[in-house]
Amino acid sequence: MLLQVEAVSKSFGGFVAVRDVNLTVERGRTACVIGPNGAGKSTLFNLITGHLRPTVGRIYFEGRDITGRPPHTICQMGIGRSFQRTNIFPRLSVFDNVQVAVLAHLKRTLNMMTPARALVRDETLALLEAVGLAAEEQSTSGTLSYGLQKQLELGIALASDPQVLLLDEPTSGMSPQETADTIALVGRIVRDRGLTLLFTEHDMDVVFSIAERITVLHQGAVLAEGTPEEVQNNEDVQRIYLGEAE
Amino acid sequence: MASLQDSIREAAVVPRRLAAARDPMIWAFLAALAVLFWLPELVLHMGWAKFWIQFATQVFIWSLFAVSFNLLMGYAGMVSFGQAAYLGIGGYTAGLLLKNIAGLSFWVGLVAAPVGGALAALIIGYFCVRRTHIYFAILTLAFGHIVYLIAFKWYSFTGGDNGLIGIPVPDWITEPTFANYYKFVLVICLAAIYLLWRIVNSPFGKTLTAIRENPERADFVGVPVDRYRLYAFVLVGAFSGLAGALIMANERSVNPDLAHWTQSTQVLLMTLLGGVYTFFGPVVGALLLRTMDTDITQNYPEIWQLFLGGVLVLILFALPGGVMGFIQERDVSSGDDQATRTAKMLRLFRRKSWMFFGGALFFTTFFGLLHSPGAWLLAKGREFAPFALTSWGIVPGALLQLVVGAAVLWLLLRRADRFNRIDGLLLLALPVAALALHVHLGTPLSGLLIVLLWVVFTLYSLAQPEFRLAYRLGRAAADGG
Repeated sequence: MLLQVEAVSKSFGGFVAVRDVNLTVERGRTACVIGPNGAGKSTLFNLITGHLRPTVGRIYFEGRDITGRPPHTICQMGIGRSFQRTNIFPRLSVFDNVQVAVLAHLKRTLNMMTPARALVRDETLALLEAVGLAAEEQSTSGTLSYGLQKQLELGIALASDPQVLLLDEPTSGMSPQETADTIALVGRIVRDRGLTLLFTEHDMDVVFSIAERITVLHQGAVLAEGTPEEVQNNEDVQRIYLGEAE
Repeated sequence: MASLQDSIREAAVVPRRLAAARDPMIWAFLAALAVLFWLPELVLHMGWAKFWIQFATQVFIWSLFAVSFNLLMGYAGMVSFGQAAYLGIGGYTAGLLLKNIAGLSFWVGLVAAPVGGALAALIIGYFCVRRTHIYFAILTLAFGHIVYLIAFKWYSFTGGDNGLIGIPVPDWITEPTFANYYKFVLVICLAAIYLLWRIVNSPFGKTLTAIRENPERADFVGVPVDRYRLYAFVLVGAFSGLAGALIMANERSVNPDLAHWTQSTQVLLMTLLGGVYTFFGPVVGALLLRTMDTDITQNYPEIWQLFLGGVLVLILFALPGGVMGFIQERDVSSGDDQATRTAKMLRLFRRKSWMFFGGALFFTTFFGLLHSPGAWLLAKGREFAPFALTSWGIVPGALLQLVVGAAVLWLLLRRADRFNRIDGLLLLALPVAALALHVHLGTPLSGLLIVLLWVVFTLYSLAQPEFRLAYRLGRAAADGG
């Protein structure tokens, strides 16, 4: 069990955003969390990555308790993530965006004397190549198109050489073509690097095309959990979630 | 990821000496040192006023202070309103040690100043870096004022508002021509600014810019953001402390005013005027502000504040990136091909040149107005003589500058894509006219500043690859046709 969320709840004041959620992700699997808006998907991600501290419950990564650890520690332990809103360093070049992440991963950010431009060049370029941004190396990242910024964010997340990748709505706001490209890219990267993937998604075609396990959240609680077929055939899910779209 | 680990190890064993040699900027610093080192000899030899040596010394110290301040403000995105506190703490640390411990080496005091600045920054920063933006700024302001009040009120320790006076410094510093002190400051400031250059271009510096751009993301690439902000704060505290000790050494005294918040705004202004996202911007800002201070405070003390406010408003609206930001501004988007880039570069260069010309014209006219207020059409007490330019009033003088300058500039810029050497020299020589006018008006520093900025601007622009290419293509076309 690579990642294990154990009976985690999170409340903000009186509002319970996540209620007694159990979730396990096995190494090498692709898991997806779905649910309507406000179901608590992003909150769950923020709990796992240390941006929020659970009110109750524990979270384990590789058997180690990571509950309440700061984000930078959790990142260094091997969890990479992208954010729902694109989250890059907009006024830095594409190269610098990824380079900083590589340097941070290698714990070389305290070096104050060596010129940075010559450092970890090959690793950075390899990552840019992997996410299809090699040609944009020198561009200011904030001027890239939305789709390319998402790709860059993926590159930043990969730079910390994670074992598990958490992608929060990787295709939100994308055209059908961009969505297809992104899913192909993510699929290839996950396969090539043997990554474990946990993602949230609103596009059901995407979900059912790549997820091996699906967890359905509804009003903060787990409504159903299982393989895509099990989830698809679950009556509660059909009634409450999938049915809404029909 | 074996290949990743391999190349890390490889990168880690590059000898330090080699890494240093790869940074060409060291040669620029050494060249600056070699040239500036002889300034006192030049001044004394030419029989100019000693004031020039003192002025240059002041500019160096403030440059150091401002460049280090910009590490916080420009690179790490932390706007401190209380940076003078560390200037003061540096000065007082060195001053108190030297005054109270008889026979203590001056150099120990000098080394103690940055240590004192860093320690104070560590304690104060520990609280400040937990907040960001305006809350951080206000906290630094509050702590800065506490430091000032301690210096101002604690008579038994700091000498209160009398300051610390009669601090023993070596005789070679107090030598009356200031030449030794100048060289001492020059070497230390250049070395410290070079160190800062290395820091901002190091992985640490890159990390600070990442934190400035997006602290949340920086955190989730594995950077402990608050701790790095504290490191930056302490580092800058150390450099500010060093600058404080340099000021102390000159005056042989420390005054609480050194830590006053008005000094903090001075360094903030220098950084803004010079260019906040550029490394050398604060140096330009220091030069600019000291020049304006000298030219205007000395000659027209009553309008200094008004002038400063006016310039600040102008710069913030017209040149939000400061002077260096203006010079280095580029208009490139990733999709442009070579021809578009070149065309954009030329257009930008022409526009910037005109703006520069407008600015220079404004300043000469402005100083002309100060120099002889009311002399609109005719210089005071002079008969009009068409060929004696000094008898012309402000309006005809400005018109003449406008017409002649604009004509020359237009002719030169028209062929900007096929410059030959003579064109380049003419372009460089343009501001000499402005210099002559400023010398005539009694504000030679402003004239020199215009020349200096213009030279930096032209050389920087002409060195751009797009410009060189445009030049080559233009020459080829001219030769062909």
